[in-house]
Amino acid sequence: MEYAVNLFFILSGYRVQGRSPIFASDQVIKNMVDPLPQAIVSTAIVIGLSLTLLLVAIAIRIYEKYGTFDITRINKLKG
Amino acid sequence: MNLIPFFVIIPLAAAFFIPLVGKRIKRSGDIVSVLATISLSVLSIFMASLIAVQKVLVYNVIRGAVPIGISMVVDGLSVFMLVIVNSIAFLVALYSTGYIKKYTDTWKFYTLFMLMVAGMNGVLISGDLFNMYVALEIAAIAGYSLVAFGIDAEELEAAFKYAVMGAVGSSFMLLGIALLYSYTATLNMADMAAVIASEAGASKIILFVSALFLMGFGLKAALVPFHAWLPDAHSSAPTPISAMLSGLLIKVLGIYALSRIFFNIFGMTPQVSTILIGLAVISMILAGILAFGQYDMKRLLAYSSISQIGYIALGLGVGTPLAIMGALFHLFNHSIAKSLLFLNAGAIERSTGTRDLRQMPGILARSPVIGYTNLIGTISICGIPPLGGFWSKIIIIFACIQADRPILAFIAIAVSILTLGYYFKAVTPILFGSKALHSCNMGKKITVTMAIPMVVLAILSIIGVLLLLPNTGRAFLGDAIIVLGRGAIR
Repeated sequence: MEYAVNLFFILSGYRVQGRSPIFASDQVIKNMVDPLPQAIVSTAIVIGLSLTLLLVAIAIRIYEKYGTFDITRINKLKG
Repeated sequence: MNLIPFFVIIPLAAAFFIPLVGKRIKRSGDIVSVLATISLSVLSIFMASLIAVQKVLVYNVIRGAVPIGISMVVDGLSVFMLVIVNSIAFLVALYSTGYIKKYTDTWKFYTLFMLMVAGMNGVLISGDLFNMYVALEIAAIAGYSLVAFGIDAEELEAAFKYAVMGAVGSSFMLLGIALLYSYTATLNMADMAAVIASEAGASKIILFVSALFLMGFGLKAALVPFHAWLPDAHSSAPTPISAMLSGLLIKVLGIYALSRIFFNIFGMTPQVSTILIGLAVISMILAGILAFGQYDMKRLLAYSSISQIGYIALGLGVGTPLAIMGALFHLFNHSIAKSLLFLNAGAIERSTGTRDLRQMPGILARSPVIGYTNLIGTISICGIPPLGGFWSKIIIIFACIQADRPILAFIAIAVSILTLGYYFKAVTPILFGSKALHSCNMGKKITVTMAIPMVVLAILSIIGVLLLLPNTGRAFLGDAIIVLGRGAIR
């Protein structure tokens, strides 16, 4: 789901036949891709990665405690 | 010199400094985090005095690039929240120095704690939507790992649940931000509000984005259909973190972000207002009823948090200036009283060895400090007069009547009776229980650093009423109301 959102964000800044938005004094930029979504998505990817790592770490610890990944048996919290 | 960035710089610097020295010097985490949070709370009170005169302060990270650069904005509402967050964070840090000794590697705790404070301050001062999202994720991820800090089976399970649900909520937020960016071509909140205001009528995309944000931030605020993570996370986390989560995190990440977006960017519409009121009413009633069935003290407090968040959302949903005032004042009272009660629950657990209401040995005779502070917090949340909770609830109820919605007023009154009921159920065994003390924990006293924050919070919840008096606190609360009132339905 995260990847879908990231892809959507990138595409929202895309232009057909666009070029990379590198600024130089001897060039006239006419049709450039919007750079902001790319910067934002790279941040979002880092956030997503850290979250995934945290989830995996917690999942490994859960397996140590419960001996299973079966969510019907991981049920110490109720109510 | 501009002081705004220091709200993020100080806690981040502390978070990086603590692991450097934490392994070698044993108590460094305690000292650094207490110093950092006390300087933050002094800074936030100083900032409040600045804002009372200047109303809005803006800091641009890159000078001279105003529409493009990153901006940090502090106005009446943010400074109101900044003062609450930083002063409670200081008291919780002070409490942690006594409480956290039972864990190994306390420096990791303080690092994550300071990251959480940095994230919350970042949410409050950021002037553009994506920075707000990043700061929100910092606070949330620090929160996920802090819930799992004790690595017991329950804590891990709660943290996993919280992290998965939080990740889903964040995805909704990011999609909403992407859609808004492609619609308005800006991320700066003020520019965004101007672009949206210049379009005639609420377009369909704004409605869709509103739905996404209601899901995302509603999940962080734990309004009822999205509340499943809260009772687990708040009852399993180490006690100082429960106090932070319940007293601050759900309000900053949920209520503050929600109101900032809906009042100040979109402008409140009747549809959103109706949905918000609906969610609020369900939260108030359902969580109030569920709290009745709880025998774990912290779990009962967690359900009560959902119910009280419902009150705040109700006030925001009704949206008249009086209702907003009630909501913000209730937010203030609830932050203080709920942090107090959670810190208290930790102290009770420490000195009696149990959190189960059916096995309470009665704390009032054993430790009057814990007993009386607990009583004051409970009275404030239940809404028994002279304390703050009573005034904020009655303002919300009057606002509902004034807005010609007597049914909402009736529900608010009914839920406050419900609240009184389940707190009465909790407070009787806590104060006067007669079960035998658990032999394993006999005689463990709370330390002075644990007692001071509880006493200070109890005093604050008594004198919090002063915020309503003209001249003293009115300016502080009033600026925040004006900021939100700009976006209310006209």
